[in-house]
Amino acid sequence: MTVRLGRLLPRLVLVVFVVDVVLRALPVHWVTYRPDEALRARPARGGGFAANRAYRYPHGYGDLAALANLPDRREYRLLRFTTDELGFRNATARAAFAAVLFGDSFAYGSGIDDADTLPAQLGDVLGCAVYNAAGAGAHHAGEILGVTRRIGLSRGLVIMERVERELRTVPTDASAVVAGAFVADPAPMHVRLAGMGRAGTSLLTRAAGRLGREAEMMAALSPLRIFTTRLHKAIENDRLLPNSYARQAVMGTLVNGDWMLFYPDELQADTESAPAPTAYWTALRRELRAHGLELLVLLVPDKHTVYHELLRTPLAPAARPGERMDGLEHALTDAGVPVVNLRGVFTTTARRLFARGQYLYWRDDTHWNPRGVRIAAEEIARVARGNDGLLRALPPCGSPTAGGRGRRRHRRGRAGRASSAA
Amino acid sequence: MLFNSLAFLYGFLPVTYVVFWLVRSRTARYAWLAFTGYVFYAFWNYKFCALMAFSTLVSYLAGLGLLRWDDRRRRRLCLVVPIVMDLALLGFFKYTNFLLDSIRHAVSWLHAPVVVPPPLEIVLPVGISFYTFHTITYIVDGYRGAIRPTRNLFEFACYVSLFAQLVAGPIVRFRQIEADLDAIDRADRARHLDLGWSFFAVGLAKKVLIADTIAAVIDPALARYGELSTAGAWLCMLGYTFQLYFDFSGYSDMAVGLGHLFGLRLPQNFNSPYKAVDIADFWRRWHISLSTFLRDYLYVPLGGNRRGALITYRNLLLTMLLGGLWHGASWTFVAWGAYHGLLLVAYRAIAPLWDRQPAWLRRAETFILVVVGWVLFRASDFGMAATLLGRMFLPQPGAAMAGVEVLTITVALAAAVAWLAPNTFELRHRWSPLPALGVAGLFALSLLKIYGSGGTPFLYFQF
Repeated sequence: MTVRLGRLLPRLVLVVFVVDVVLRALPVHWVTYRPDEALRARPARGGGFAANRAYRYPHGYGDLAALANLPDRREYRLLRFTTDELGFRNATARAAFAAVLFGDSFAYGSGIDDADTLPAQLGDVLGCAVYNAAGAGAHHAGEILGVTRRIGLSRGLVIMERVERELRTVPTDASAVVAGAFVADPAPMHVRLAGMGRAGTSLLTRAAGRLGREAEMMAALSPLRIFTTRLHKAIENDRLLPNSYARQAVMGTLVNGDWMLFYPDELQADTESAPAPTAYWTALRRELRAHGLELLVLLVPDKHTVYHELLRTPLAPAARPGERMDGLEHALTDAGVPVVNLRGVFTTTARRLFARGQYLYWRDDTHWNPRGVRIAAEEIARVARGNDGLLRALPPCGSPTAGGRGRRRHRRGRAGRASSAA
Repeated sequence: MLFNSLAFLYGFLPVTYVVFWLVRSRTARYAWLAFTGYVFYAFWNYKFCALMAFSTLVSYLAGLGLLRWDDRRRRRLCLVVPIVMDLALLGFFKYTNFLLDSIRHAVSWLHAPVVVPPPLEIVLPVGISFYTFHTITYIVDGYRGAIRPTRNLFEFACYVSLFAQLVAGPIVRFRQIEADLDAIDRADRARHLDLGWSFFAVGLAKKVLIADTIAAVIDPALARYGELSTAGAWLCMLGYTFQLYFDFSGYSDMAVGLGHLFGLRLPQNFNSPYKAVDIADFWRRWHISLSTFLRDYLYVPLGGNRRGALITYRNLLLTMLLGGLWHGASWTFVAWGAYHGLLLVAYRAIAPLWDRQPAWLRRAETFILVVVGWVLFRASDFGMAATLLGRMFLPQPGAAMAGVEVLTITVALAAAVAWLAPNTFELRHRWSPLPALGVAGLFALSLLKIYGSGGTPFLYFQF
């Protein structure tokens, strides 16, 4: 008896394809290693994450340990990640907000628990509620004011966070403040289609938008690919096979002998001494002020900028850590835009804590840890209290928690639906 | 797009296949295959589609000229113009910077007061070495009267841009698939289907399970070749020897299989080359479409072996030097070609003596000579080649290699397949249930590996 491979193998391809498609309907948090990955896969319209979710990951670990396939470098920690009805990471029930924070993964708190995010800690330090609007890539005034309107913030602070390595792509032109003029990350297809759905009245267009969104999500996330990649990573453990993922993080050794992982992008030397552009920021500040809001720019140093002097062997001798953010800080100060550059306080504090074996960033992650966030919150509060303009913009707040270090209670979002994942 | 990618298996191949068998007319099938060839090519760089179209059109018109004219002068024009144009394009894209670099080094070495222009920003169009040779064989064979050039532009475009052999061969001559192209509207789908999938599955497993596994270990090890021990250097080069064979012959098997799915029988490109008992035998078995091209379009026109020993040796050396240069714009490839040229000359000189040895010994000796040659082929420069050869032949310790056990097992398995098993063309491709299950299992494993690690490019795509 002869088996016809011409029939068998195409069917096999079809079976694998169908399995792949079916698995894409699985809840994404089953196959992701951190909650923000799961929640970013299907974000709410205008938000950065899926709305009204509460995830609890008891075994979360750092992004660099995951990217570089270094299981023995994982530092496990409890991660709770709660989103509100707008698709932003806010564990507290909605209140009267005094400030809103926009920015990237540092601002929304990748790798840290709900209770330790910058808005949560800043709220503690200031004694005011701070809304976390980070993660959606909002840049232009229309997007920012859209959020402030939705949360009812008519007076207060708008804090725009930027991490050092992203300053290369920061908008430079005042026209970027106008809605749609600057798009740092082009909107994904489903957002564009969904936008079409909103703009048009046609049922067909809305259906196309919805369909496009679902199709793109399904296309983007393949559990079968994730499972097989994990299997592949398990084999590429530097014993059975060399670890080809290792180059996605750079291992450094500190002078005390501790290891620390760095994101390769951090180590890239800034070859050009670009002038620090302020046009975007001054225009944004003007626009926000016209709506009763005051802008504060927050510059977060890369981990390498803070720790490069504490490395036993330099990882990027040609790099000029912090130069670009210092330049921007000076330019913004000259232009009258309030700015907090965390480089100085982070470098000093990191050196001080280093003697005790404590750090401001996770060692297995490119992001800061709760201790680093606390320093940032205190620094923001210090600058805000020392700036009359900012102080005036802040509505009357309650008392800050004792020393700003009181134990915070974890609260679940108003419409949060509890679920957990291993 | 790679044959070993999900986009190809889930999208390109099914659509191309279904539409091909839905359309009935010959010209429609030519047009469809030509169109899909351009789509396939556009996945790398759509801008170079125009270059391929231009080369196709010029050769097609030259073919029409050969059909129409009988006088020697015009026919010669139809021969020379497209070949010069093809070679000029190939030379510009592939060898300009090589030439500039070589001149710069020579000028620097001689301290000559000559300003050499800086390197140009040239992107090498993928597959140009292959489709250029397709069009050259077509024109030369048309000129010689070995084929009758086609009047059907779509048939010719289909021949040049057939996706199965577009970017890494085999170098198919028009006469080799002319009959199948003529009968493309009468192709027997059922007869070709099993054969096509059988070739494809075996080729995919060779590439994904063997070649890629070896590459996963030796690539990082060879990146630090200065730290290899003698055993490590030999293991890496043995690994590379089998990686290259399983990668390229796997690709060729897949190409042959894909050709069958569309009723086209592409020629054999590898005939168990590591079973060769001498170096001439090796070249009759390795990359057959290239070696026969070099033989028929270079070695024989140079005079072959008809003009005495010295001229034969010169022809062998020249042919192999150019064969080496065809592989890449680097002096290491030229040196590799020269090495094989010298081996062929030496074999010709001592053939009676060599042939007196037992077959197993000749096979082993030939294999080792080939492995040593692959050092030049793999090395990025002569420094690397010298270091690797030094580490192979002068015993010395070195750093431990990650994955050495897996590499040893895979190389042993690959060697057993290469030396003991029949090659893909020797298989009957009639599978009883148990072997069929094995093939299906290997195919499924390959698919999952593609999911897990993504498809890796074939080594010969760079040429």
